[in-house]
Amino acid sequence: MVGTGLLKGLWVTLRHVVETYRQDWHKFPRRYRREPVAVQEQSLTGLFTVQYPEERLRMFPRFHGHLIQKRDPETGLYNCTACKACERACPHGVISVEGERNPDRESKKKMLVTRFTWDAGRCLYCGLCVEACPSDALDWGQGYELAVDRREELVFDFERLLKLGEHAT
Amino acid sequence: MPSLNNLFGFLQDWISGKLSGFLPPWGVTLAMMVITIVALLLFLVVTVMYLTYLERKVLARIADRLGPNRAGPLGIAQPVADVLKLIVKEVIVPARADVPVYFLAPVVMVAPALLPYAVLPFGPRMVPADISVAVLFVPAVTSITTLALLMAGWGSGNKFSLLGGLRAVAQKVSYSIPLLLAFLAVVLVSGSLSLVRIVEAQASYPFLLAQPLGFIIALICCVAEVNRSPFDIPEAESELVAGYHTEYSGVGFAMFFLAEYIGMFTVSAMLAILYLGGWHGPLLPPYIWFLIKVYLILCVMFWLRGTFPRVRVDQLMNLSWKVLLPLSMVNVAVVALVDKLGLRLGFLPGLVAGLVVMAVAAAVLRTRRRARAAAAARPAWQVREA
Ligand code: SF4
Ligand code: SF4
Repeated sequence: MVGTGLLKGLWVTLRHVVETYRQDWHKFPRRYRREPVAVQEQSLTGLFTVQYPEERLRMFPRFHGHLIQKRDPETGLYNCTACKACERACPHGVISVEGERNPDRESKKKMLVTRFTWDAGRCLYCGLCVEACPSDALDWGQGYELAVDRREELVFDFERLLKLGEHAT
Repeated sequence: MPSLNNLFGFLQDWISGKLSGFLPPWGVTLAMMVITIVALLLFLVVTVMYLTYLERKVLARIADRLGPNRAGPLGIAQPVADVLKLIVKEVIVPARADVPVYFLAPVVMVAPALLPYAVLPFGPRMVPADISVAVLFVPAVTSITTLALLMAGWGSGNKFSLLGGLRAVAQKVSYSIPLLLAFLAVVLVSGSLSLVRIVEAQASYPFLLAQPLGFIIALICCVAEVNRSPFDIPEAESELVAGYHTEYSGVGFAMFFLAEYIGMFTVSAMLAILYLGGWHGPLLPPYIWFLIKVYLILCVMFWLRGTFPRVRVDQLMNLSWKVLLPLSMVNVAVVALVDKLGLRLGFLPGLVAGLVVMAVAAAVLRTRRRARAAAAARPAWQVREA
């Protein structure tokens, strides 16, 4: 029939309109008053709009947001052994690690990290450092609001990476 | 409820009663005219502001978005921000513009767009002037905007604007004919050219039932008349920058914008009056029913815009002259025949006839399209032999 294509198109757009309301119903007053909604799941139907400062998307696990340093959940000690594998793997020389022998010979931790810096401003986010880490210490976090006011603040030190690691897990 | 149903009539009586205390009769009439005009203008400006908002919201929903949401709660202040921005913007006159024509065009555009509101009935007693030929008056004055579009295209001294203006003229002229023929069928059914009479004639059933084909023709023509997508070729962004209003900024552009949206409201009101029964409806006051119907048609227009891609110029012309014009003529002929036979069957003959005509037209178009497709599919050597 002539015109069925037109009707089909109208039906598609109508369905999209209805779908946006259907999915939105349970967020009804909050979303429209622009109150903070902590995180939002991604969906394939319904509204795509994320009202950013109030709503944030939860990023997927393989998202390269920023580096984190992990701790052993049982002992609470950090996993990094200052082996410098990440420093060597980095194609851009963005990571620099310095360590020393733990003076406490009884401790499980043989090496202490004295300095660990990651310059996010020059990082390629390639992930080779994470691949290289033998001790499951370095990993990706999913945060993405990394803007800072000064360039120096882009250099993350060990404490900051450990803190980010706590938030990530 | 009587006071609510006739709110505006009471307001009118009350104000003129107060005024007659210290004004001579002609003064009261004059003052009432001014008050009506100011009220209508305010209504129209606010309506246009929020039509843009409604349109953006509807289009956003179609595209799975939320639409304006930053200015004020729900983005409700967005039209205000837009208007302020347009007003404070600099008016730039192109170097090669024909200055008097360039500046006259927006005025010529807005003034006729406002004129139909003198005769559009918003409810019983809510019509500034119930003239006896309103059905002719509205298309007559709105078609003056065609001149404005051509003036804008010419005055801008820009080839894209000129092309846009020419396209606008061709389009408006072509679509006025089937539109008026569709309206003529309504006039035949109702037996009057007055909009108020036509609405009153629809007390038992809206003419949509008697004129399904006429309604579809009129809807398509109205969308084309106000240059709305999918018939927005006079301002096709991808071909003509912005068509006739390419060179306008600031207030000039705002006037075109205003006129375009007022035009949309006008044609929707006409469709609501002629086909959907105007102010008739249960429970709610008449003017509310009227506005509901108008907004329904406006939403359908937004819906069409959100769905269909723009047509080509040749498709546009073909649709008007080869499809809509014959169909509307058949429609008028059928209505006239039924009228002559004097069948008192309500809307039934019209409905059946309309559906039959539509089915026949669809079948004809389909066979022709098949034939064309078959001809295109045939190898070239066969075509040469044939
Ligand atoms: S992600 Fe790549 S560039 Fe960045 S620190 Fe790791 S190895 Fe270096
Ligand atoms: S983060 Fe991993 S690779 Fe880098 S120094 Fe520490 S343990 Fe070695």
